[in-house]
Amino acid sequence: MHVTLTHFLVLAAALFVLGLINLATRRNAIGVLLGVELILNAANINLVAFSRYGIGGIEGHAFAVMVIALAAAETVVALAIVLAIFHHYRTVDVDEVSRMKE
Amino acid sequence: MLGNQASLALVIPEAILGATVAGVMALGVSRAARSRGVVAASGSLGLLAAMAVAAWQAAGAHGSVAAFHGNVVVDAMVSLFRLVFFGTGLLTLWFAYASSEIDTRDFADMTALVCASVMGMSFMAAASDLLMMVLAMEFVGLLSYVLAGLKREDQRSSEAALKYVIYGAGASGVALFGMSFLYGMAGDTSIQAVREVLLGGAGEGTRQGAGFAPLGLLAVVMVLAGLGYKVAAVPFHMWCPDVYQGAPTPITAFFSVAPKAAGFALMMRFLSLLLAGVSSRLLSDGLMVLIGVVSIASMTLGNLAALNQRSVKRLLAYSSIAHAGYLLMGVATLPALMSATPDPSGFRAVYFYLVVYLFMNLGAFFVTSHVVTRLGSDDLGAFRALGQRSPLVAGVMAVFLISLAGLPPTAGFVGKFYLFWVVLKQGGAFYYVLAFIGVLNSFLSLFYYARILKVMYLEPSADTRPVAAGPLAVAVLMALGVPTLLFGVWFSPLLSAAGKVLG
Repeated sequence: MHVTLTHFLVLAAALFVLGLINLATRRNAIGVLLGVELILNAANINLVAFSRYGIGGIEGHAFAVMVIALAAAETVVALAIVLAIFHHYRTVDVDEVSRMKE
Repeated sequence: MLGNQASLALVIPEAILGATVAGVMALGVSRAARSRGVVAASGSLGLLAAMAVAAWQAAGAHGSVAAFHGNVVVDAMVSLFRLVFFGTGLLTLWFAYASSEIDTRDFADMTALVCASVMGMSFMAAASDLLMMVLAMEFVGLLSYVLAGLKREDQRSSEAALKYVIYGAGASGVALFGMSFLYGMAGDTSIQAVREVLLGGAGEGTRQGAGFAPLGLLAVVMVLAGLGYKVAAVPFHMWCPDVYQGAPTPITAFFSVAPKAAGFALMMRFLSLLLAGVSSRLLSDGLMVLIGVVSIASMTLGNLAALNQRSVKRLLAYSSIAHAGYLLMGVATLPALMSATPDPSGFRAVYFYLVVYLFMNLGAFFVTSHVVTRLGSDDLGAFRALGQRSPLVAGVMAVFLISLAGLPPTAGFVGKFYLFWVVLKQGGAFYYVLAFIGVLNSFLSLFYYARILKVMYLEPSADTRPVAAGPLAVAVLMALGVPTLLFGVWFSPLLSAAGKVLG
């Protein structure tokens, strides 16, 4: 079978939807962050596929490399915050970490 | 279009801030950090120098310049927003200096983070390339998450940081996914190139502008979702009350103005670069209705939820959601921009309101921060009899609240009047309904602003000792309160100046 741009776009769209579902349904903070990772990588697949198959030049690849670096930075900050949360609450369940509102 | 070296002179204000960040971080690990004064003074110096250079450059600049190979645009709008961001950063620093909520141990870190994030915001206002947009947005986002969680030992501060990072990372991921389609349409990360595809001018062979409109609409909606989170518009507002309540009050003041203004700056920059002159019914009507509905939802939900809050920080958080709604009314005038003769007056009203909003909202938060520092709580009860205990602070707070409610003779009235007038001027049933709901919401908001006034002036307090205000607090209150009143009575020169700057 010949692999075309459409295949990549469908894969990326599927990853994106899975990521969104993950974001909406997971209660574990680490799980939620994994959902974010899925969304970012869906965008990366799009970028690289457009760059390879579409009319785009090298820019798509460069964009994807930047996004990978960005995702790493975001994970560092997010995990540090999750660590602080665990220190206070002894859990990383996002529903239980909710002591304000009142 | 300028190359890299030739562009450097245009970003001197940002370079000064970069140096300030490095300097403050060095101070932070040295002995000097034990004194808040040294850190606050060096941070203020950097921000003031950046503001001075930005103002000086703005005075000598003409038109817009594409810099760094078209990654950023430097124009009058960037100059205006630079002053807004840097000014907010400066005031935040002074709030924090006067507040007991920020430990001396964390003060240098906070100063460096605030200076760095206002630097990122000025790139948000200037970004004219998809990659630059993402990088600037994430830069500011990452620093904001850390700022929200600055008080590591405080449970609520950590909780605020978690809420912020989860919603923020998700929203920017969605925006990025939308941008990947915009890139695919044009094969170029420049927003201008994407616009040419939508115009139908560029592209080889069968590429048609109109054929791209549905995909373009989907992609733009995704990007707007990411920005909607930044400005805290419904339905991306859920993080906002928790983050505002949990973060230290000076940081909350910063969040309520600077990232919101930056989100609006980026949104309007993106929309005007992408859609100016693009005559697609699907895009213009689709986006008008979408932004309009989000605007109505934001102001209505924000105002209704604010009605029965006890925590003043939380109340102001909902009020800021409602204000995002009012501001989005101006962005909903997008079709005027997409016509053959682009008319940016709606966007101009948003710029104007953002400047006014800076003064009144920072002011209200500063008074809250003052009360938290002196009385230990941001509960409405802590404001009891403030009118007798500290007449000056209560009086200025009254000005800020009246201005937030949009009543004369304050700047808030002028800003809101201008915004409603521009929306009505567009004509058409949709805009009339939008403006009508906006006015109804302004009345609704009176209830909770008046409630704070009532608590301050009419409710007795068991504790009648006066609440002291130091010279710094009085100076900051005057710096924010006097313009709020002055703009309200002396608005025509200001409006014409704004028109001239952005004309």
